[in-house]
Formats: sequence, C-alpha cells, structure tokens
Amino acid sequence: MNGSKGGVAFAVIVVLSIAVAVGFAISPQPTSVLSQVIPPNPAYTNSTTLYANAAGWDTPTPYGNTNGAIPVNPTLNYTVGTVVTFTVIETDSLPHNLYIAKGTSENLASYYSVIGAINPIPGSKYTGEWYAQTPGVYTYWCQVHPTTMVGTINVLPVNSTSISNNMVKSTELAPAGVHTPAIQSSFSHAVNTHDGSSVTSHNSLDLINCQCFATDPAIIWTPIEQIATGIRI
Amino acid sequence: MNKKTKVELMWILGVIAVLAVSMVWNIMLVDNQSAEIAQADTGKIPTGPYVIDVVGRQWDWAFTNYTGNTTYDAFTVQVNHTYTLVITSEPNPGSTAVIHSLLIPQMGLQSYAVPGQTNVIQFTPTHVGSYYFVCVEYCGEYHYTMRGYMTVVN
Amino acid sequence: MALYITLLEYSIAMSLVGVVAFFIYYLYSSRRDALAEDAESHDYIDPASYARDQLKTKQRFADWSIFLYNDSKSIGLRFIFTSLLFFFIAGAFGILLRVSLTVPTPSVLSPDQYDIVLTQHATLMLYMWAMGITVGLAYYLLPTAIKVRRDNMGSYSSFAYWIWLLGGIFIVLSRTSTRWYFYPPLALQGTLSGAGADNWLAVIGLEMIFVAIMIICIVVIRMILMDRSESVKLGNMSIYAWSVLFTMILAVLSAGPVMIALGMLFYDFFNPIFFTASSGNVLLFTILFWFWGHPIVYIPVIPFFGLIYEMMPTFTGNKVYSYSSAVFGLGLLLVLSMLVWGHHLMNSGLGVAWDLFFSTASFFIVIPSAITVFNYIATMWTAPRIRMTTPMLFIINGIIDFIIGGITGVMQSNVGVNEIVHGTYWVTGHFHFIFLGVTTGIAFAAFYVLFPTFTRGRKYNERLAGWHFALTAIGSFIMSAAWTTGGFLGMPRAVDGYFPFFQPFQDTAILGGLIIGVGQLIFLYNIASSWLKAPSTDTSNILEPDFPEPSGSAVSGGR
Repeated sequence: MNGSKGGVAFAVIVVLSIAVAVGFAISPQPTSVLSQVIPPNPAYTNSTTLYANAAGWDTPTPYGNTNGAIPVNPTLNYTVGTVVTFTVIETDSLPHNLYIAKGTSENLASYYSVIGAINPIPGSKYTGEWYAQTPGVYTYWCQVHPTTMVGTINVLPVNSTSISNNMVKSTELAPAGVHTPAIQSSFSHAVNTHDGSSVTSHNSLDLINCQCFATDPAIIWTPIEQIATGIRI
Repeated sequence: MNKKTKVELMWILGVIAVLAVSMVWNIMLVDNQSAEIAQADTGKIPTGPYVIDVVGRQWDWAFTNYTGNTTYDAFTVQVNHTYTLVITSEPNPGSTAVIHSLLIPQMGLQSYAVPGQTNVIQFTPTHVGSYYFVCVEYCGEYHYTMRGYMTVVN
Repeated sequence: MALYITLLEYSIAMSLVGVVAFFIYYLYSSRRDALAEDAESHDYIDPASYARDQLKTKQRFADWSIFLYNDSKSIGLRFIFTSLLFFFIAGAFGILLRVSLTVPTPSVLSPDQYDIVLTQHATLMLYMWAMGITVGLAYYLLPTAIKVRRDNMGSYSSFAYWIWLLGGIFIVLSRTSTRWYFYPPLALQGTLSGAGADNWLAVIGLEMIFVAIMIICIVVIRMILMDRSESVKLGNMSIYAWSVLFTMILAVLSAGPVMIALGMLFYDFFNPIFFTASSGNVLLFTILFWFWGHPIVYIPVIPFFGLIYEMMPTFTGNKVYSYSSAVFGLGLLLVLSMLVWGHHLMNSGLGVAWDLFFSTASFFIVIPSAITVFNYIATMWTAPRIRMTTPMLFIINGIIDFIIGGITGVMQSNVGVNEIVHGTYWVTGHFHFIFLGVTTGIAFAAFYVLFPTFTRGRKYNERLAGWHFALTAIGSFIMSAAWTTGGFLGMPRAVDGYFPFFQPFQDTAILGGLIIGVGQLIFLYNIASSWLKAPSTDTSNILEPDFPEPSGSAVSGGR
C-alpha cells in the first residue's frame, strides 16, 4: 500500500475553509455609509475647524471663554454647492469621529463618514471633506459620543437671505494626505482645568490626565513631524 | 491505611488548610466592602455632596455630581472623602440600553451598569493623582472607547 | 448597479455550491445503495446494523467511509476531523485578532469586524473544537475501553453530528458580533455596531448544537451504563470511561437552563418581553446562561484528565497512583461545577451573599483539582522512567499549564480580586492556560497516539511533532502569561483598541500568538506529509492495547 492523500486532502480542506470563513467574516456588510464625489472645482469652499471634546464640539476660540457668544455644538450654515473641509482637533484624549446625515437627528441608516476614528493625542488634527450638495437641514455628530457632540448644519439655497457661515478660515490647515504635524505639550505655568482645579506640569502625559483646556495659552505646543493616520470607516 | 493513602491524605489536608485561610480572609475582606445588592432603577438618584451618578451609555460614561454638572469619560473627586457611585445604564435615543461595567483597577472597584437597576459602590480615595477607568463588559462596537481618567485632587 | 453585481456573485457562488453538493450526494447515495445490496445478500434487513456488525472486529481507519457508516468509531472519526477543521478556522480567527491589536487604535480590523472575528473565535473554539474533540474521542475510544456488546443508536449519533455541523455553519454564516455570551439586550441590537443583523441565525445555530449535545449525551451515557460488556464492571472500568460518564451527566444536567434562555432570547427578537429593562429582567439571561457557562468549561477538561490517566502509565511504566481517588476527584468535579457558576456574576449587583456563596464554593472546587494533579505527579514521581515522547511532553505541559491556570482561577475566586480582574485579560489568560494546555494539548497528544490507527499504520514525523509541541507550549505560555499580568492592571477584554500603556502586554501576547500559529502550521504539514508516506508500522495504538482481539471476546462479536 502506498502513500494516501487523505492528509493532503484534509490540509487542503482546512486551508480553503479558513479562507472562506475569514473572507466571509470580515467582508463588508451592507452598511449605511454614503459615499460622495467631491467636485474638483466647486462653486464655494469653506474651512471649518472643530475642537473635539466629549462635552461638545467646540469652535476655535477657547472653550467656555466667549461667555456663550460662540456656542458649543455650533449651528453651521453653508451655501449649497460648498465643499467644506472639516478639521477636527483632538482636545480631551478620547476617541471621536465626525458623521453627517440628512435630517434633524442622527441617522445611522444613512450617513456620511467625514472623519473616521481619530488618534486621541491632544492636538492631533484630521481633515475630511464634505460636499453640501442639496439644500436642507443636516445633523453632524460624533458617533462615539452621540448624545453630547451633535449639532445642526443648514445648507442654504444660493440666494438665501441667511448669512453663510463665516467660520474662521484656519491658517493651520494642512491638506489631507500631507504631513500634518502632531503636537506635544508642556506647561509654562499653572493651567485651569474644567472643574476649577489647577495643574502645573512639564509632562505631556499630565495634559492627558488633567482635562485641561487644550487651547489654554499656558500650554506650549511643540510640533513634531508625524504622519497623520486617520482611519476612515 | 497504607502509606500511599497517608501521603495523599496529607496533601489534601494541606490544600484544605490553605483554602480555609483564603476563605476566611475572603469573607473578612468582603464584609468590609459596601457592595449592596442592586435596587430597581426608579430614575431618582440619592443626592448629596459626595454622591456621583454614573450612567453608562453606548459608548461613554456620564458622571453627574450633585450640582448637576455632567462630565463625560472623566470625573474628579476629592481625596479622603467617601464617595458613593450610583451606577446604571441608559439607552441612546432610539435604541436600547445594554450592560456595561465600570472598572477602576487602581482603586480595586468594579460594578456592572445594568439597565433597569442601580448598583451602588462606595470608595474613599487616599492619594492624589490620576486613575484610569475602563468599561469591561462588552457593549458593542465602541466598547473600547469607554475609558477615561478619574482625577483625585485635594 | 452594485446590487446586480452582488446578486450575480451570489448566484454563481450558490450554483457552484449546489453542483458540488449534488456531486457529493450522488457519491454518497450510490455507496449507500451498494451497502444496502450487500446487506440484503447477507440476509440483513437493516444495512446500518450489517455495517456495524462487519466493522465490530476491525480497526476503524480514517477515510471517507466514516460518513457512510454509523458505528460509534465512524461517528467519532467524523467528530475528530471536523472539530480539528474548526480548530484551524477558529485559530486563524484568533491570529487575526492578535495581529489587529499591534497598535492601540483599530488598524487591521475595524471595530465591527474585530467583534465579529472575536465572537466567531470564541464560539467556534468552544462548541466546535472543544466539544467536538471531546465527543469524537469518546465515541472512538469508548467501545473498546468498555468492550461494548452492541453498538446502538448510531443513527441518532449520526443525526446529532449533522445537526452539530449545521449549527456551527449557521454561527459562521450569521456574522454575529455578540461575543460568545449572547447577553441581551446587546444580542437584540441588530445593527453592525451591536450584535449584527443576523444574530437570530446564530441563536438558532447554537440551539441546534445543544440539541446535538443532548442526543450525544444520552447515547453515550446509555452506552456506558447499559451496553458495557459483563467483564467490565463499574468498579474496574477505565478512568477515561468514568471521566466521559461524568462529563456527559454534567452536560445533560446543566444544558437545560441555557437552552431555555436561548429560546427566550429568540422570542425576544420578535416581541421583547423577557430580557428587557422595562418588562423583564436583564440579568435573568446571565443567570440562566452561566448555570451552563461554568460546566461548559469543565466539560472539555474532565475527559482529557481521564485521557492523561490512560496515557501516562504507558509512558512512565507505572500504574496510576490511586484509581479510587482519580474517580472520586473527577466525580467531585462534576458535582461542584454545578455549584460555582455564580462566580461569573460577582460584580453585577446580585449582592454580597451571592458573592460569598459562590466564592466559597469556588474555593471548594480546588480540592478535586488538587486530588487530580497530585495523582498525576505521584504517578510520575514513583515511576521507573518517563519516556519523553511527544504525547508525554503534551501531558507534562498540560499539567503545568493546569497548575498555573488553576492558581489564577483560585485567585479570582476571591471576591476582592474578582472585582479587579473580571472582564479583563486576566480571565482570558486563565482559561487560555487551561484550554491550550489541557484541552488542546491533550487532544493533540491523543491524536498523535491514535495517528497510526487513523492512517492505517503510518508514523508521524517525530521532529516535526517536537517542533509542534515546543511552539505550542512556549507560545501559549507567553501569550497567556502576558494576558494574565496585563489583565491584572486592568486591560479590558473584547477591545479593538486600548490605552497605549498596555502596549508591552499586547505586544508580548501577539508574539505568543504568532508562535502558536506557526506551530499549528507545522502540525498540519506533519499530518499531510506523514499520511503521504507508505505505512511503516502496525495499526495498533497504546490507548486500545487489546484491540483487535482474538475472536471469541465480547468485542469481536462473541457474547
């Protein structure tokens, strides 16, 4: 009796089954993420910078220092046909992302994933583009903190009398895909935290721990070269 | 009783002795903790200066202190005061609540956040600093993001 | 447009599957017809019993005819090879999990993919590999161990096999991401970020697996208690047979609540009344589940304790130190493992009395484990020599891993420690020590021992087997140790991302996991290449020393 190919057959079945099972398990399921084609020459462009904080999306002026003049989770207004470049800056060392859906509330059945999970190092920045193609009311939110980081976007017709959003055109903005400097921090003097206590440190790890205002001028940001690696879901 | 049985019996008695010590120590330690049996969640939480209402949601922890101030994935306590955490789980809009578990490893504290009931644990921080906490009961896709820091200040 | 392409892909795939299935069925039915004709020509009405009577006096080898005949050894071989197939599949999932945790944020797998792979890894490993190899070795070895007079209920066992296999396939098809606990209310969230849209299919699959387990338990208990030869009394039955008897009794006693719970869960998909916060009780499912959840982790361990008792005498030249305490220890494990299940729920708010009761009971269950380990060590201590063959190496490694895993187990029985480590990688480390060391390790040892019989007299390559052992043992130790220490610092389970300061523990565990993976590839290659060689030895094996027997004995058909 010569050699039998039973073992080889078994091994082949094993390898094929692994391939089928793994391929099937991680294959993309029908999802609700919408895709968009961003036109290369849009009628309007806009840069919007949002600070990602679990208590709410914040705008470039320091958190809480405007006496409510610029609110948390601001309502954003854009003219129809605008390609908006969102920049999200991490402040509280927690994961965040940015989704937009049509309608007055979060809609996980059908949404745009503008910025996927961001690296939770305070100061890291991610950009994503969104094309305001049709007029109407939209909702933008962070799916990790969907009850607190949610706001409204109004896409207004061209000749609307409402004023289009004059958000600060961020001068720090870097185009997506290029080296975006990540930032480490040290403190020059005592920093006030969200709950009124204060922290003094020269250690960037303490920035993560202190829940400080990331835009506090006491914090010195030192750019270090690092390629931003955001994950778009 | 032959020699083999004697050796085996000595081994078993030794094991039982070690276990008995562990059991007694266990009972003594547990009696000193205040982990009460859960109560049904009535929506009302006891208030007081050292009571923190903890709500686990998909996917963050919301800590509300007695002033009504809510912080997310972070909270601050004062050292050498006894705090009571009242822990429950609430749904996101349009969804159902799921089970979470708050673990603060460096304080040795854990309690499930179960929809429909409140679990109460008490602790007294004795050192200033930052203590990390995590969610250790699988609650969906972003289970890994339900983590943060508890800051103990003077 | 995308929809049409998907439909086209699915149609082509389904057609191919249909063609292959039809071809296989054609082969099978033509063989069955040939068997029926053969049976009739020998004046048998029932082809199945004709086949069993033909096979009773022969060694049973591993070939495709195991799907045709319903005697216990064929059923056993089906379970052994199918569970080994699922071991490799679930193991590949495990490697995928490790590799996707190389950085603290989701990288290789997105969080929803990670949760699917995690659920599949755990569920398939437990219900397909661990249960399957336990049942397979029981079916294969019991008839000769207890010298059965007749081999009955083969059709029931065959049916159970197919139901079990189909249940496992359903679980894979469902792409469920609910973790192997299936806790509601998460299990009822049919979204990608919850439990997956087809979690109901996984619940059906799991219930099917339980039906199969119930059938198997009844068949095997009947075989041991009623079909035993008169020359094999309960008092001198092989320890392996005792261990299988205890395991099957344990399974049949503890599976009821979880089958009910899964039924209630399935009902909740359509009308949520049982496990909701408003009209039911969320923790009720966890209580029903863990009543089974603890025995299920003893079921794949007790028979392998029995197998160690069977294999150790051959490699040490010494009888087991004490037969009665071996049986007593295993029996005590059966009783106590139905009393400790609440230690999985110590932090859920069920109260201090609950915690203390189950903590104390968990301390008690150390006693039978201590009896068993003492028996092993005493047998080896008083032995004239120890032959370090590959199976013996797996046995020694299994005992060491069980000691370590057992110590971490008794530590986590302590309520204060449990409060720190529940839900962290400490628990993962604890049970991987035991599952990789005892269940998987001893299953490999038994497979190597039975290899000449399966393959009609071929020897496996000892060097490759040595490498397989070394990589599995070292890799699993590194991985489980890293998890245990990281878990004590609070590293959570079931996560696709983690605090960066856990990086060293994850890196070490990834290294261990990769080492294990390479070891299993060597194992697969060893099986394939050794089987390709010509037979070089006889088909006997050390677990069945008296088989095949000269005619006139109970096994060969004489009464």
